[in-house]
Order: sequence, then C-alpha cells, then structure tokens
Amino acid sequence: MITSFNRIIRFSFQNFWRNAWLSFVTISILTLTLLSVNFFVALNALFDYSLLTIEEKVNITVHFQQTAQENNVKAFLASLSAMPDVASTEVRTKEEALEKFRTTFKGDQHIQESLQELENNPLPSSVIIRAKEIQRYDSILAFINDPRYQGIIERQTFVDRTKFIERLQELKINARRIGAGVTIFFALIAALIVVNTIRMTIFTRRREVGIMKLVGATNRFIRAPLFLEGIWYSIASVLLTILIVFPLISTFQPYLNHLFENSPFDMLAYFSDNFGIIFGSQFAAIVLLNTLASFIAIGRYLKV
Amino acid sequence: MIVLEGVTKQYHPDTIALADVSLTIEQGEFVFLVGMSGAGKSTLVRLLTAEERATSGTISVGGWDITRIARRDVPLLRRQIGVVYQDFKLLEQKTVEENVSFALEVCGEPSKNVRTIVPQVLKIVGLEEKAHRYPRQLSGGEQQRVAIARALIHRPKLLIADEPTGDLDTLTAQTIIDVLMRINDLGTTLLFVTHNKDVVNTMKRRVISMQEGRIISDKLHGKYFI
Ligand SMILES: Nc1ncnc2c1ncn2[C@@H]1O[C@H](COP(=O)(O)OP(=O)(O)OP(=O)(O)O)[C@@H](O)[C@H]1O
Ligand SMILES: [Mg+2]
Repeated sequence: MITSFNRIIRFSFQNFWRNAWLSFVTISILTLTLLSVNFFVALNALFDYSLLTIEEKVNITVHFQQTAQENNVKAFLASLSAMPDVASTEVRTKEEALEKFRTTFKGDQHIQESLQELENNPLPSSVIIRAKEIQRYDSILAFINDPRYQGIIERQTFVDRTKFIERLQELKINARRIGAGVTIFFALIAALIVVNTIRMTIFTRRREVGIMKLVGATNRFIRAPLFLEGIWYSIASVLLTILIVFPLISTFQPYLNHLFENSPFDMLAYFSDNFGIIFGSQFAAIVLLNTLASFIAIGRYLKV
Repeated sequence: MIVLEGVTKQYHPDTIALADVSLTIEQGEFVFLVGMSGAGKSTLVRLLTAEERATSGTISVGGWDITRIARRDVPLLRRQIGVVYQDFKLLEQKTVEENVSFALEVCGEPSKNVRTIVPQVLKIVGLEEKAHRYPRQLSGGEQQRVAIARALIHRPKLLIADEPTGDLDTLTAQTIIDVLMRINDLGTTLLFVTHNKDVVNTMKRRVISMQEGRIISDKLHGKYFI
C-alpha cells in the first residue's frame, strides 16, 4: 500500500519533469487563464468599491430647531432608529457641532475669536441618517417630512437627489447583472481552456497509457500519477499567478490612488485580505476541472 | 495452458482475422506460431491478453476462461503473461531500467526485490551497461531486448514473443533464443511467433502454421514450410 503510494508519487514527478515541455506549456496556459481571472476579480472589486464610495456619500442630515424640546427629539430619534430602512443614525449635539466647527477652522484666528465672543451656541444639534439601501431614502424622507415633526426640525439636507439616486440604483442593478453575465461567460471560457489543456496533456500520453495497461497496470495505478501531476500543475500555476499578481498590483496602485482622490482603494490590501478566498477558490476550481477533465480524457485510453 | 475452441475474430464485417481456430497448448510447451503476414498471428496474441475480444468461440488461459473476462480482471491476467510485442511497446519517458521494473511495480512487488531482480534480468539480455538510457537512444535490436527483459521480469507462467528476433543479427538472435529456451526449461510455457525459417527449422519443436486466419498444420517436430 505504502509502496504503491510512493511509486505513484515518484511516477507523477517523473511525468512532470520528463515531459518538461508539455508541463511548461500546460502551466503557462493555466497561469495565463488565472491571470485573466484575477484581472477580472480586481475589476469587480474596483467597481464594487466605487459604488460603495458613492453610496456612502449619500445621507440625510436633519438639523433640529434651537427651541426643540429634548423629549420630542428623543422620541423622534427613537422612532427613526426603529425604522427598518435605517442603517445608522449619528447624533451630533450642539456642543459636538461647535467642537467640530472649532477644529475645522483651527487655523483661522478671526473665526476663533468670534467664537469666543459668542454667548450662546448658535449651532443646531443634528442627526446624520444612512439608509440600508439607496432606494429606502424615500420612505425615510417621508417619515421626516411628517407634519408631526415639523415643530422640531429646522431643515433637512437631502435636496432633491432622488433622480441621481435612481440613476445610481439603476446603474448598480445593471452593472451587477452585466457583471454576473460576464463573470459566468468568462468562467466558462476559463473552464473550457483548463479542460482542453488537460485533455491535450492526456492525449499526448495515450500511447503510454495503453502500454501501461498491456503490462498489467490497473486503471488506478495509471490514473493516480496523472491526477497527482494535475495537482502539481495546479499548484505551480497558482503560485506563479500569485508571484505575478502582487508585483503587478503594486505597480498599478499609484494609478488607483488617482482614481479615488479622497479614499483611495487599496487593491493590495484587498488581495491580501481575501487571499484565501481568491486563490483558494481558484486552486480548488483548477483541481476540480483538472480531475474531471483527466478522468474523462483518460477513460477512453484505458479501455485497452 | 492455452485452450482455444472455435475462435473467430472479425474486425470489420469483411475482415476475418481468425476463423474457427481451435488449439491446445500444454503447460511447459515451446510452440512456434508461423504464417505469412496478415495470417492472424498477432490477432491471436491480442486475444490471449484480452486486448481484443473473440467474436465467437471460447478462450482459456491457465484454466481461466477469459472469453468474457471482466475489465477489472484484465490486469490480473496480464500479470501472469509476459508479452514481447512486435512493435516493442516501450515507454518512451522511462529508461531501460524503469521500463523493466515497471512490470514488477504494477504487480506490487516490494522495492527491495525490484532493485535486485532488475539488474539480473538486464544482464541476461546484455543491457546492464545501458540501463539508464531511454528507448530512443537504443538500436532496434536493443529495444527488442528491453521488451524481452520486461516480459520475463515477473516470471510469467506464459511467455508470448511476437517476432522477438526480427531485428536481430543471427548471433544475437541465437542468444535471445537461448534465453527463451532457458526460461522454457524452468517451466514457462512459450509461444514464439516468427517468420524466421532458420530458427524454426533448427529447433525441431512444435510448429503451428496459419494462413488467412486458419490453422493449416500443427506438427510436433515441425518445419517452416510456407
Ligand atoms: N485493429 C484491426 N482492425 C482491423 N483489422 C485488423 C486489425 N488488426 C489486424 N487486422 C487485420 O487482421 C488480419 C490479421 O492481422 P494480424 O496482425 O493478426 O497478422 P499477423 O499474422 O500478425 O501479420 P504479421 O506477420 O505481418 O505481423 C490482417 O488482415 C489485418 O489487416
Ligand atoms: Mg503480427
């Protein structure tokens, strides 16, 4: 049992090295395929991130009246937070508003002096509301604009952005749909390339496979080394891809920084944080395709 | 050892390679199978190794009815038979030594034994110096000797040699025949397919002659007469 296991491993390495050219071609094709898959992954991440940054910029800020009763404000905030559409509320008291104002204009001597002279804090307390999803702002606005609350609310800043939001929403849905379509299409092509590469590899071995059978080898004894060889191909191509992808991202990171001025997207961090998911699933997919393809491809030549 | 009863092999509807062939070869016999090109000799060999199935009739090897042998039992059958193929069938990606040891390794022979047996057999066929060469680096005769070494290595009960002297000069051919004789003396049944008139005539062994898929003569101390 252990003997045959050792032999299978030895044969798989022999196959790998003695068909160096074939191995090289196979690994190159697999690596190229993986590289384009990762390009796609990066593109997707970038797109998601840009949608997210745009979405994050959207919020409703409600400024309360100076005269508003604290009870009423509290009640308003409580019902607001209870709304299923609301993702978060961020309350800013008058003091916090003042403090924020102060720090914002730290360098401005003139403003700092005028602030000193103030008897009352003129800044209103406010709350910043973020909806769970873009299209839910409508219902939140409806809630805020309820006549009940007009006594405590001075104004809200969500000036007719609905058109913009709608567009964004549409874009997002379409982009997702197109993205999913392209991803599936692309994955199919990548899978096809992998399967055919493996089939080609097996095809060039058909004579060898036949001879092994004639000498009395069992199907398993022939399949196992070829399967293992496929694993070596997979490991090599994924490693190679990793070795190419990270330097490539580093090279392109400065351009990404230009793309989003305020909050640059850290692609390197994205790939590092999701390393396991990204490359693990690619490895798993390649091994799976490999196994399937070689299983089907060898089958024909084993019937000797 | 080998029993064929009314065996017919039809490749295409119009190619009948074997037609109603019946023969019995006893354990330990040394038998020549001769006949013109296309007579059906290699087809007979392919039936014995279950590379092809008979269209009709029954075949048994070593008391085992292999007429409708299950696919998963085929490796077991082949491990009991050694075959020297007409076209050698060596593994191009393996060295001489590895080609020979492979036949032992597929049987699950312990590595320790493999390491001792392989050099011995390579010595018998005179290839110990070229153990680490690849088949493409050998002459036709040398490749043939590798094929013979591989067929012998697992001490098969039945050894089939399809034209094992075809590419060899008279002297080397004689050495190969001596080797096969010795194998036969140790109790291995030998089926020797050949065109070589001289070999057949000098040996005075049983000769089965075929023509167009039929056995036309079977003589105990025969001569090559076609
Ligand atoms: N795979 C095949 N498909 C179709 N016909 C075949 C096949 N193999 C052999 N034949 C035919 O069967 C007949 C017998 O062939 P076989 O190879 O058994 O001859 P042989 O006696 O070994 O000849 P040689 O001395 O040239 O090796 C020939 O007519 C050949 O064309
Ligand atoms: Mg032949």
